[in-house]
Amino acid sequence: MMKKFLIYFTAVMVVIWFLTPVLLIIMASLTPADDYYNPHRIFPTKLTLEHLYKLFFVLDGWKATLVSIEVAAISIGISFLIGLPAGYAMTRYVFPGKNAIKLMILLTRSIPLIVIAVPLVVVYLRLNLNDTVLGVALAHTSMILPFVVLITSSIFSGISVEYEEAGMIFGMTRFKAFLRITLPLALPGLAASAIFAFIMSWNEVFVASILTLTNRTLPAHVLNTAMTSPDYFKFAVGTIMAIPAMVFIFFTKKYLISMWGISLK
Amino acid sequence: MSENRRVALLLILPTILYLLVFIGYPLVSTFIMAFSSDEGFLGNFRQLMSNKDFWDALKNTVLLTAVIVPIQLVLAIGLALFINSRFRGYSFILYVAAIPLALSDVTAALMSYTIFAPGGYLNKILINLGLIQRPMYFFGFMYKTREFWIIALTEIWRATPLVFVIILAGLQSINKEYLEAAEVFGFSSWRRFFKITLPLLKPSIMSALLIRTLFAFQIFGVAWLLAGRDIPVLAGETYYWYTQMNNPNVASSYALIIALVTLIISYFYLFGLRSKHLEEGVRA
Amino acid sequence: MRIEGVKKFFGKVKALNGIDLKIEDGEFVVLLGPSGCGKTTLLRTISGLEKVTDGHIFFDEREVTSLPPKDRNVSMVFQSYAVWPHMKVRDNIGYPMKIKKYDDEKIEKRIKWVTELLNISELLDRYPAQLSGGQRQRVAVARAIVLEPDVLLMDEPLSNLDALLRVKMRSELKKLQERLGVTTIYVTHDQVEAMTMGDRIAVMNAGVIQQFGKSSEIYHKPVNKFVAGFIGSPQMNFLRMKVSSEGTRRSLTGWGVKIPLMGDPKMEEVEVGIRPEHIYTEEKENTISFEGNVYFLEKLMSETILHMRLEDDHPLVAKVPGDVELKENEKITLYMDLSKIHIFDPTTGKRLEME
Ligand SMILES: Nc1ncnc2c1ncn2[C@@H]1O[C@H](COP(=O)(O)OP(=O)(O)OP(=O)(O)O)[C@@H](O)[C@H]1O
Ligand SMILES: [Mg+2]
Repeated sequence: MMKKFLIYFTAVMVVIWFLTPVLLIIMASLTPADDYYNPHRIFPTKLTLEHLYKLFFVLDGWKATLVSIEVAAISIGISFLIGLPAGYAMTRYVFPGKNAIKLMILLTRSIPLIVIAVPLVVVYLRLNLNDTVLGVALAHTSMILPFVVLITSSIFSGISVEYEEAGMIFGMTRFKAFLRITLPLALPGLAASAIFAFIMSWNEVFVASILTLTNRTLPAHVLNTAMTSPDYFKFAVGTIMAIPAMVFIFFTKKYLISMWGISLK
Repeated sequence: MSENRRVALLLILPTILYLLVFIGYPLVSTFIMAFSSDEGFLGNFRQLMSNKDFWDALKNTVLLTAVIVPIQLVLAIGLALFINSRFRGYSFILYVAAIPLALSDVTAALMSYTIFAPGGYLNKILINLGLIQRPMYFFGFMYKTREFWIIALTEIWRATPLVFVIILAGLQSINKEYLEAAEVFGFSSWRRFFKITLPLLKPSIMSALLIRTLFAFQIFGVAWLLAGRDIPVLAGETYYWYTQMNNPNVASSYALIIALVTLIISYFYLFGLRSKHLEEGVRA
Repeated sequence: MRIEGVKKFFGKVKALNGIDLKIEDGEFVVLLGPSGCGKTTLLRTISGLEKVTDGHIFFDEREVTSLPPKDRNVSMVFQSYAVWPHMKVRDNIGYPMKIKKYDDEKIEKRIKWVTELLNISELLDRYPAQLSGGQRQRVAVARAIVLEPDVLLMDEPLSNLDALLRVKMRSELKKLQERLGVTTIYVTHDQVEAMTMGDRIAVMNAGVIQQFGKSSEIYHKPVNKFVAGFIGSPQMNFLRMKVSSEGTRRSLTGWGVKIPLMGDPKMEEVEVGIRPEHIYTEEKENTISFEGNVYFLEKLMSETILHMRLEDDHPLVAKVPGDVELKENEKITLYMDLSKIHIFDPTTGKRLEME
């Protein structure tokens, strides 16, 4: 009995600790300005969407959100386009230098993005990529690509080669066997890793701020403008930033531990 | 055979090229930029080190790391053990505890601000309880100590789950029979934890520590949003020198110092603190 | 089907080291050998999943050595079945036919035929995860035979099944193959499986076929010591014995046993092999007697495995009927069947024929 009580007590504490800030910022973003600035009022008298509306349509939050989504979509696209074949090769083929390449990919993950952001500006100026969505996306790709290679390689290694070989025996080319058999089987894992990659890009702020001036992603926009805006806009931004993240965690629950295990290795 | 090799290399080539162009090349440029200035080879570093801000930033970064990492580790181990006991409804707790994983540092800082702002919820509650008359201030250059602790708290809140998942994955990979064997041989639960679980968990702990230390050295968003340059940190200074001072060379020097520290830490963890039982019998 | 001088090296590992095999149309050949001897590798080179390092493979007169698997018209039942988990049974069986451009009507007809044949008609709309091991295996077989392949390859298809199901599937597979008349190569670890199923058996070791022949041939006339020792359970006894002569008559002596010889091995020592089931407790025609101590008894249901010690403590195993009364440490007389003795060259391990 005592033990049960302790368990549930701890559980409640954990939930409070992790959930309170999230709930508070959501509440704050829905609180009318009058209520927020009244120190004696903790809970709002009514809820309003005004701050979110203004953030989106007056303070250009809408554009920044779109940029964020575009950047994420492009970097996921490129990363999977070139990273998935590499991940496949890493699991299905033996070739000289495989370990060296794997090590190299792992190492790139421990290089802080900060280090490469500054010189990228110089390159981009030459390529006319500065302050463009594509420029940020390319930089984010260099962060996401190694992750995609490692994670797809681990997903493919979880799918027995024999399925693919059976396909080849029964009349498919290797490529077709991959498309028809391995890919569908890998799809749930690939989808989860795509969402994961989305969050990586969605959350990245440093490179996005350095590489752009007008085409800012949402967090970069916040970092540079919203901090000088009234508090309730900050909360609105926080809410917008947090919601996709929480949805992501919900949909990838099953893969959470393995995915982080790989992305953090 | 050689045909297979060709296919494999073809599949991998785009990735390698991309990484060379977008990581390799910038990395080299950073080096070149950091070491070129009007005052000679080490001019940027001399300029940087003669500045008090650098030493402050270094001190703050180290201090924050020293505060954050151990606390996170203890909390994460506790949490992982708790969730791994698989009580009813543990998966809900797992989900809740995982939410901060997906939040950016900017978001976490904003959440922290919701609580600690002058008009924030902490002040509201304290005023409503009649404990204080007017709001307490946590931000502003007069309150650097408070700012420091709030940054630390925010980072602890945001990144403990990161350590937690690694530890939990480690716990789950421990063969239950080891613990059952210990139980059969009469180990107390206290002894089981310290003699069996903890040593077997060491590799996970090491990698969690490594990752957290690396990330802590790159701390930026939380500090910058909550305290600006009141509490300078290394990554923040990089950003500052680049965007506000328009000096990419000094910014590169900062970046390089971060990279260097990162490298040293990785080296220290990888070679200094290995687990003995993993060394033998590991397949190449 | 012909395999000529096929070699397959993985770096330094010589998985196949010169395989020659000629298989008749419609024959059921069993590949038997210890773990790691190259059985799977051989199947994979025949199917085209592995490229050979050297050598040639022909299906009838068609050389397929460098063709990709899809152009060889082979079928395979994988050890793990490899029944595609994201396709229903119907699609698992039907999809390969679609790739081979069978028309829909024919596909339907063949699915009907094969599922009735294998008794899996009710399972067509299930996913593999909803099948038992035996059912999954039948789906794998159905998928393989429905295409009317030139060659059917099976890699230990029964090894995942429980003993009872295994015995049942064994006879079903064999009957099925006879009915279809498809050339089949079947890999197994299991000697009983090999003996009961194969028209001919190829015994492999270290990447080389040691002997290829009917099961009786392999049992009664093993070409070398490896095959002799590998086939049969308990293992054949081996006794190193001296060749001695009295006038023109040669005989073998050692360990308290004396075996008269008809011919002349023309060497000083030989390796004598005798299977445990050819040692009797009663005198029969054409036997010699010898003595030994009962060391240990393994009582099985209908028979007893008798572990003996000969002179100088040389071990010997005999298989005797279960109703023979024996006690451990007892000294007894046994009878060796002279017509069942094998003699091998002690240095090369090759069988010596003397008559
Ligand atoms: N892809 C590979 N790379 C390197 N060596 C290999 C490879 N495949 C097989 N081998 C080696 O070739 C040899 C033969 O392997 P193979 O799988 O054919 O054995 P097997 O007879 O099927 O064994 P088992 O009965 O255990 O299945 C083994 O020594 C194996 O280690
Ligand atoms: Mg095998």
